[in-house]
Amino acid sequence: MPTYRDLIDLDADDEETLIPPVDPLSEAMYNNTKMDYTFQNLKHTDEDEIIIDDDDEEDQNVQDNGTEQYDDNIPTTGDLQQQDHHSNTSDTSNWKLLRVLVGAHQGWVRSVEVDPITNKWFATGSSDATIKIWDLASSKIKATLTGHIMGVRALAISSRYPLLFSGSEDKTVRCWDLERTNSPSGAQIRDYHGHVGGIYSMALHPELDLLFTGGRDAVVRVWDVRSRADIMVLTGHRSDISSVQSQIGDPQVITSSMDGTIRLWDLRKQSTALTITQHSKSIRSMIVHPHEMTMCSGDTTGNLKQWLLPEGHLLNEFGKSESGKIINTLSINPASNILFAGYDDGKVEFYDYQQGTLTQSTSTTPVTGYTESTIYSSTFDMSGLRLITCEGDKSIKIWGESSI
Amino acid sequence: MFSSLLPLPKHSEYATESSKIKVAVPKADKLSQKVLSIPMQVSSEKTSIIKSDNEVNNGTISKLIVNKDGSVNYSQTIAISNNKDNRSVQTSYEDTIPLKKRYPNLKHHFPRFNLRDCPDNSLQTCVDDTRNVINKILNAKLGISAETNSSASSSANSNSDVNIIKYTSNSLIQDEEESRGRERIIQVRQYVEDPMLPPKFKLRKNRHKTPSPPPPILKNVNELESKLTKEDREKWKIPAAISNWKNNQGFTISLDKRILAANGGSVPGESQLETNLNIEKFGNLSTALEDADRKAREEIRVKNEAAKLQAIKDKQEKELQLKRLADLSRNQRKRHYDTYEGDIKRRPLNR
Repeated sequence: MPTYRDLIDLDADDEETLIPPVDPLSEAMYNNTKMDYTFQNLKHTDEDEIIIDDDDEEDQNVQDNGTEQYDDNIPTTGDLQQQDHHSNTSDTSNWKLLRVLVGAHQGWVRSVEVDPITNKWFATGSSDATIKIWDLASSKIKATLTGHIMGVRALAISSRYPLLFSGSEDKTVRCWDLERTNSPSGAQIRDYHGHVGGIYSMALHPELDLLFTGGRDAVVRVWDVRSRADIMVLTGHRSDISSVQSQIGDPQVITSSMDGTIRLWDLRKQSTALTITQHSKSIRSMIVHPHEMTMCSGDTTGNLKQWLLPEGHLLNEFGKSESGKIINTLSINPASNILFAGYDDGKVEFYDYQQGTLTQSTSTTPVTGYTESTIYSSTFDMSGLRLITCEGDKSIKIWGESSI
Repeated sequence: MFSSLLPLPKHSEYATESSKIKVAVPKADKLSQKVLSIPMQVSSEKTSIIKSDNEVNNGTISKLIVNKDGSVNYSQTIAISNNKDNRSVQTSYEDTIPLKKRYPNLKHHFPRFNLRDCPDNSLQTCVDDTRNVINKILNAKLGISAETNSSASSSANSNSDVNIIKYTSNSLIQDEEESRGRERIIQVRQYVEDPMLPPKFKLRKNRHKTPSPPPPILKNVNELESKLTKEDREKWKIPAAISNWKNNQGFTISLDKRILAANGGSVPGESQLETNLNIEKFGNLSTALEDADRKAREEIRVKNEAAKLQAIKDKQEKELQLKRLADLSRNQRKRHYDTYEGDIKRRPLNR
């Protein structure tokens, strides 16, 4: 397996060999690949190498931690390795509420998605039927997309085209061209009709032009993005589909449902490859790890289960099972391997993804006028430095890990 | 106890007599043939699958799943028997125990591969296969079949589409010559049409047009950020309507509003200010009007006077004429009388 040392000549003195000339067209793509590159190196390096790196770069990392991470939002490999070790050793993390966007929407904020390419903006969908696009750094609104007539429950941002997909309780899936947000004819360019119930979750295939949507009508529909054709209908779930995830290899579609099952689908045969029935209660959230062949699901009793992917073996289970602990949302920090769980009563928990240990447990502070704030949706940004939660007090909250 | 001896109830649909129940008992020699001779493979795998030739019969188990020690894995076999496609099923108790508990030293290292860094080409083949499957379905849905292009070219020149049907006419309509119906041989072939011909049917207007998209809401994004000032808010304040005649709730009406209402919607002081007449020209106009009026009256008076004088003149003239006439007539009569008297005097009195 090639390491970054093979690809980049680190000993070169002149910067021109390391840094490509500035190309505004490919700048966004470059940012993304750079980030991907740093993360994937982290996983594929052997243990020996890590140890060597630690010995060599420990002093540098301590210095770099404060400055470089926050300056250009692209953590170096050394930083990441240290973060990794840090999370392995310590049992506590210290995520704090940094910013609250009060009244971000007129209704509950139900869905959030960060742009995977530039990591500069994120989109939120709300029960007030609007989608808003926010600047990640300044938290200022960039655009408001109207068109849905009921609450927007699902969002997906394509990493290959400048398109945003949204699914709503009004049974429609819409496609928005983000380069036309200011045009008088509106940003919407396509819609996908066929669902007979509200859409609760959606995912884009990472390689093919496919869109998977699932929701109230208990079926997953597979759409061709360009021709808007309804290619397949994956039936089998007995109740609402709460989350849909997609990955490149088999199983290409994974869905969780309110009937308490997770289904791994064989897309080529249009059938279920495996039904996981080990959750005893309905599952509201299931998430696939971006850099590991694992996924994690949480049910409405607070049970979290980790699965090994191609075969769907139970890898780990954690989380205290209580009656009132309804897990609404899960998200995984791609950089430091932290699992975030947001609860229906506003409780917030951070788990170490590898060990399954609870590292932090707090609760959100509801906006004045609200006694409780349900966490409906959450996501980490691509660098893993910020956590965005969308809540029932109509606000968006941004969290960050404070260096103790 | 003796219910079987009792007569059947009339509504009963079931035959309870033992003679009517048919039990198919397989014969002994057939059974012995069917017994599977299972070749035992000693494999390193946990379970092995044995396929039987039972697949023809639906509903029977076609696959036996055998554990490592040779015993049948019943749960797996039964779970798999029901589904047609070979999906995996988690059936054992061990499946419910997390892998990390079963193997405490399990290293958490399960890397996800991209298309670029995958060691083998499994991901690429998976993507390619899926793309082919999707394309096939999509082409069928969109009506673009891969065969259309090839068939169009082939059907034009080849006679493979020609069907020859032997048709016997209905025997009811019999020909005189033959007792059976007449036989015909019909050749059915696809009529090749020129694709460049103009359309045969008139294109109708699409009556069900897609509705026009909703009008865009043009909002200045920057304006959303600026807050409403107090003046702006007061500008939008619309007071509640209170009747001047009926005020059951007893709302207070301010004095200026009362004055307004009393003056019929206008402030008394304000009305003078508002009527800004052009006084000079208005005066000119009124004097001009007055002058004209006066002139007209004078003219009428003069005319009337002249008419009066004329009338008096006429009257006098008439009187004078009458007087003359009277004088004339009087003078004539006097003259006549005089002549008559003179005659009498002159005439001799001879009577």
